[in-house]
Amino acid sequence: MPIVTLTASSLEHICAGCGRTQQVRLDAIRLGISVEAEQRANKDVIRLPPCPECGALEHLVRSWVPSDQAGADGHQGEHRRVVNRLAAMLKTKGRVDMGCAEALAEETGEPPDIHPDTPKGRRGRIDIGPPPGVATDKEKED
Amino acid sequence: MANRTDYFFKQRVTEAELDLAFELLEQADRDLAADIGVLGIVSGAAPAPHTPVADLTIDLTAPARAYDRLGQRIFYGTDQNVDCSVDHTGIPTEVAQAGHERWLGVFLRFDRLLSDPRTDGNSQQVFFRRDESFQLLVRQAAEGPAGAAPLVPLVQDELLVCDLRRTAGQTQIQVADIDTTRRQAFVFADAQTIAVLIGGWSLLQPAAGTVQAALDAVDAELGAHFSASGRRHGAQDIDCSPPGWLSGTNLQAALDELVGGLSSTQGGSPGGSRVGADAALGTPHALPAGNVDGQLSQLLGWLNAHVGASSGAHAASAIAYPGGPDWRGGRTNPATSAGAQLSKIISDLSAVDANDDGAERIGAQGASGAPLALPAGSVREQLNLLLGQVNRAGLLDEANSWSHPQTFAGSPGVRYPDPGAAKRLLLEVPSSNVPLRIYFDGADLWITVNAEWDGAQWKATNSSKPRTAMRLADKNVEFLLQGTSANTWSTWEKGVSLTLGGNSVEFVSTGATGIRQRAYTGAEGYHTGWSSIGGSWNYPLRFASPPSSVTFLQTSKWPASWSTGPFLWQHDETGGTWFGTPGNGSPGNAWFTAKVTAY
Repeated sequence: MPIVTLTASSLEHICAGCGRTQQVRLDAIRLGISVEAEQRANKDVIRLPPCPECGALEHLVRSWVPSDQAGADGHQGEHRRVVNRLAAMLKTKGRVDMGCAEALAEETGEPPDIHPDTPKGRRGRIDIGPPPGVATDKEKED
Repeated sequence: MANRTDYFFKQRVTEAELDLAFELLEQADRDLAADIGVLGIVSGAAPAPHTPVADLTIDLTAPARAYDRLGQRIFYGTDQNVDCSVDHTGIPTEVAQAGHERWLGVFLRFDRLLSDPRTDGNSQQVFFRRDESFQLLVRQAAEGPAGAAPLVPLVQDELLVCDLRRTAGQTQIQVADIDTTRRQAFVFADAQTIAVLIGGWSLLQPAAGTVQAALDAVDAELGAHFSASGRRHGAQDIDCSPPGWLSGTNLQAALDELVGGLSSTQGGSPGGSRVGADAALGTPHALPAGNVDGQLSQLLGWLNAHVGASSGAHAASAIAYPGGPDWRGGRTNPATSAGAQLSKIISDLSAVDANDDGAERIGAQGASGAPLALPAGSVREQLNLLLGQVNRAGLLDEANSWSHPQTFAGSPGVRYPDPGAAKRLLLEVPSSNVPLRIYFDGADLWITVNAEWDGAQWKATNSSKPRTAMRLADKNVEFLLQGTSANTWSTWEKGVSLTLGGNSVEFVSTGATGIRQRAYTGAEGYHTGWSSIGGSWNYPLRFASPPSSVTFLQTSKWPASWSTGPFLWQHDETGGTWFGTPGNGSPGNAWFTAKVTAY
């Protein structure tokens, strides 16, 4: 489920399975996934650790759609821009999947629809809150 | 001439015989007077209030001469003063009761004045002179109401000098109290006894040849003449001295000339110019002295100027209004001025009082029609009838409540003007819960529940209820939802668009808030120990843009521990794929099933 808060060192998201808010340190995640043996890779996926409560696997996906494409408005668009900012922060930190590192290095820019702010320091943060109406929904109860 | 006595020689004449001779002569004299009718007061004895200060006596002028019915001569030579406060018997003549009056009669009577007394042969005193003399007597009648008191009757052997009126409290006898109407003035002879010769008369035709008859005939002729019943003069027989512009010397000629002149219509000398007219004061116009023709000309000029004047005529307040019939409804129109009445008409017609307005005073003819006809009556009555019908039938530019099903037989039954790019509300169904509305903006048709377009944004009617809409656009159909978080919005929170006009016909989720979709994925297969398996899913709807959050909620997995994954591999707005490596060198069956939640 979506990120609600992004800081320079961590993020918080709401688990789509149990509805709990989970905190994940940025140094525990990477941008991109790959299986080298099978030549499979996706440099836009950020895989979060399984939810300690329900085991749900959360994937954040970087998006390259322009800012004026449908779906860019509202909280969903805001979430997309935060994910893109998170990806940029992971690239900056070098937290990239090894199988995607080369492709990421070849990128000449960031996605066009990206959050303009980059959290810095201990107080810097981007807080977009939960999606309207589904802030604490639990999948099983939905 | 008279009876005589013939004394003879050596006759001893006695006193009586001497007296007889005188008496016969005196009687013959009186008989002559009586025979020819000599009677009355010849002259003198004219009554007048006493001078120098009037009192209850009157003065009679002298000398006075009169004859009574016996031919006796009555005479006095000096002015006489008659006391009228008492009558000849000494009884007062005053009037006792106020408002009453009493008539007195002053009479003159023959008398003899005895004088020169002597002693006769019998030693008796006798009067040698027995001169003719007179007596003045005052007689009174009974008192009576003013104007109705009786007069003193005439006395046979006396002559009435005058009547006197006494009133209550009277202290002076004035001229007005003396009445000589009945005064017995001198009559020389009875006219009936005097003959006249009438044979040569051509006009008078008396009944007899006497003076009395002749005078009666003259009186009749004069009476007829003066009363204009006969013996009237012909106008030509009456002389006249022509006055002014007339020249005729007899009345007929003057009259002919007068009528001709007055009736003349000749220019320059009309009749009106011969009739004088004095000056007439007035404001704003006044007429100077002149003649009728000149003043009529002046008046005509003023009248024409007045009648022809388009302004400046006299004020309506100066024109009388005699009152008129009541208005319909009963308000009266009493007499007043024309100006006040005009103001009243305006006031009456502009009145808006309840049950007393101007419309109820104006009549209106009946008007036929179907289904509604208007009977003749007042405008108010017809307006009330029309209002009742209009309220039943509805007004084109007002909100109406139709209580019965309406049939629009035209094609189209209802037509709206081109809305341009603005949303025009075509239908609205109010509700205490959530209302229904239909809009059209020239491109899209909107059917909304609990959503109203205020010209710039959408607005909830019932803030506690969600809002939904369906939009029919040129290439797609969209189903929309707005929650209760905001009462106004421009972009709907959630929506589903059916892209009928796109390359792919599909449902697309849209909206301003988080659109979450779920899918199911799973795979099962035999792996060699190091090989991978994978699966895919499709979202029920296509996201408007690729979601940025994809969560696998594992529902089953075998073996329990995989060497890799499973994790997201490929993904876009329509769905995605996953893969994983279940084994760790040992071949066998493997599966993975999960719910996919995307955002």
